[in-house]
Amino acid sequence: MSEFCGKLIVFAGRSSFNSLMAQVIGISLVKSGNAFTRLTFISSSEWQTLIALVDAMNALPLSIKRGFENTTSEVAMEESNVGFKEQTNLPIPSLKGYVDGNYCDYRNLNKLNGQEFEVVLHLKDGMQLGTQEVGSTAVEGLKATVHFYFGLPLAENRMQSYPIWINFESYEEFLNLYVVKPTYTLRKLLSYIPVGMNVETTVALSGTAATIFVTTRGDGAPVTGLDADDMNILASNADDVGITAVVESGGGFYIIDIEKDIGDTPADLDTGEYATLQVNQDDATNYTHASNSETFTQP
Amino acid sequence: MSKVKYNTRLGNLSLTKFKAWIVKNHKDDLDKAETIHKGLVAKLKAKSEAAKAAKK
Repeated sequence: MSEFCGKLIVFAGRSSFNSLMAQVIGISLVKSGNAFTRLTFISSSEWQTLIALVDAMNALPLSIKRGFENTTSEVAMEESNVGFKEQTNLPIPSLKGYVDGNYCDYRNLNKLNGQEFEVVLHLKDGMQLGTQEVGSTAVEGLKATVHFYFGLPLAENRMQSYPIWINFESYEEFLNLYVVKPTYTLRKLLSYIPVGMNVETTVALSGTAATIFVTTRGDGAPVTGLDADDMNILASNADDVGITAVVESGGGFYIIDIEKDIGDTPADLDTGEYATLQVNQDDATNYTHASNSETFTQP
Repeated sequence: MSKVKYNTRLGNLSLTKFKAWIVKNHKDDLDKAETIHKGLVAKLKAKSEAAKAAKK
């Protein structure tokens, strides 16, 4: 039977338990392709792996305790010219939140502007929301496009300094929510995020070498004791690029050698070739510290 | 001890290639090249064994 011609009517009874949904206070951005099961969705160790595993950071929880707005359009009830009303639009849910963090954190989040993620919602009462397609055992975040945009600091409401817009892609997913209360809190997930570091170039790449300055993002303290294995190349237009050697100059400064073909015959990048670096520290399993990305181009 | 911290992956190079690279980039360490190379090879081996164990 076509839904334009009619639908089966089912009255599904009434529960004796009434409950309200609490406010959204957190959102986890999960890279596509990282589905959960009902068990792993509420496993703190699974979340820690997604958030911080070496070479595979696939999820980022964000607190929006500074504010939440439901930006979903109102359902439109249009009135005919003879005075009868019917629903005529199908709004897709969307939200705006205000991220907990500082300017440097937000500057890095801006690089995610326009990206699609699967978004898990964390509510104030500890509930966690994902979606489970009918007939599937996989629990996923709700598909959404995420936007960040930095304007002038807001004099009237400083809590709204760092907005995030989450525009969901499917109303259907909201009809198939998987709502559950894990034993951990959002704060616990936030604690799995590697500590932020800032990397700045102080001497641009020339030949093999460049100089960088590494500090802890929270207090600006110089980061010491990094070695070449802590320096990861995220992207390059040259082949097999890596940081072949690091000389610590003290006070958070490092002279780094950036070369290509490091598995065979290490050589300088050619003119126009670039490498994007991230500095990470780990405990052998998970990242404990992670920096912004910094790109070096051979002049 | 060398002030330079080398990428473990350089342990993949043959000693001859590693020495040629050291001459170009960090010639102060040339006299220690063999020891450094040995250390990198051992570190690389330990890393790959740890990765294998983690997979099991």
